[in-house]
Amino acid sequence: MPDVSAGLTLGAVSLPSSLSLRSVRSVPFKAKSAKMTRAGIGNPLLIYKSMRAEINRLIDDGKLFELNPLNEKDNRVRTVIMSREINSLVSGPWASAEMAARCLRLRAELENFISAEEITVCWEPFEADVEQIGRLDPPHWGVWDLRSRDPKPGLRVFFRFADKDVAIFFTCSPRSLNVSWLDRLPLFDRKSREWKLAIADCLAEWKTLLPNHEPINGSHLSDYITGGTVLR
Amino acid sequence: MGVTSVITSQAAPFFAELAAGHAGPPIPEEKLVYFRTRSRNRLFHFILSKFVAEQKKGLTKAALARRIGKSPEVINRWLGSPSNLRVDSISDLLIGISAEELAPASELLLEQTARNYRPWDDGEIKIEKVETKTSAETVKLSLHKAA
Repeated sequence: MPDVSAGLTLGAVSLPSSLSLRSVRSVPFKAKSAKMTRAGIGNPLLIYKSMRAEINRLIDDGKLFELNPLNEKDNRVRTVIMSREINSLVSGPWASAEMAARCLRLRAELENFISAEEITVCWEPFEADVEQIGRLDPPHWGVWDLRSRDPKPGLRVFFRFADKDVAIFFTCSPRSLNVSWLDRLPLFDRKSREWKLAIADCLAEWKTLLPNHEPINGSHLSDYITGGTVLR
Repeated sequence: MGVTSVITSQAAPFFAELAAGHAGPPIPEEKLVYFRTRSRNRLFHFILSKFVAEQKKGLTKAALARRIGKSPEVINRWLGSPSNLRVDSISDLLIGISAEELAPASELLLEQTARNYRPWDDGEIKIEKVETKTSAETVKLSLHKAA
């Protein structure tokens, strides 16, 4: 059964000012006003549900978070939405100075995903070299990772594209070594069981939060991201 | 139109040591790391954008490697993701890619002009489900064409 209350929120009356009418700027049609009335049982109700409205609702509920660069002057090419797990990593508090340094480096890399005009991309799974993000196997599952390599141990943040240039980052795993402050196993070899589990975790997180929506699934890099660069 | 502001909200405590001036407390290592990473990213994207522009005119990683006397593996690493490039390496890359040299500039962090534009605001709203239901409530939406 559809979530009626979620559908009603698209009327913009219950969304916070930062997420309601502004979110329809520059589209051919936008909601000028929304009015809900009690009209008695038996009247038809049109339920409009968009993934964008659903994500805004999850942000409202504290289940997802939008990453805002600390430097407000930063360019905004893309949007980063984060799970609680990723938000707690990049926003703190941190248990140690070492953890703070590593997590703030990760934050800078996620902010870079928002601001960079060009992002290097590994488009073919298993062919990753030094690219910043990569599409994981199998491609049609739409799971990607962002690579935060330096300093060791490297971190991999798993995400899916809710829309072109809108990525939802769900989980973070160490690449090759245990990290005391990360509750996830190292990924090791690219075909390891741990990699498969990490991809499955990302899928499960999506399913929990956005059960009625699918990520974008394109055949070209430009379907996913502006400024994606496959180096030749 | 942008909004001029002093550092606000979440950023305010983060910038506290910087805002304290020359007599302020030591800047914590983790914040130095954050800004080092940003600088690496900025330099990387500056160089990458030069390479992408020249790639459209026929430049390849192999040709660049040959011209500046580096191995293809080194060029691949330098252009693949941000790293702690030496000034000499940056110079070699700019000379080899576009016959340019670095002209440093920097900007103040403490007085920011926020960008009003959020790509999240843009783009089409996708109506994925339109369902007719029987319910106690009706939703009345007035639509008008955006200017």
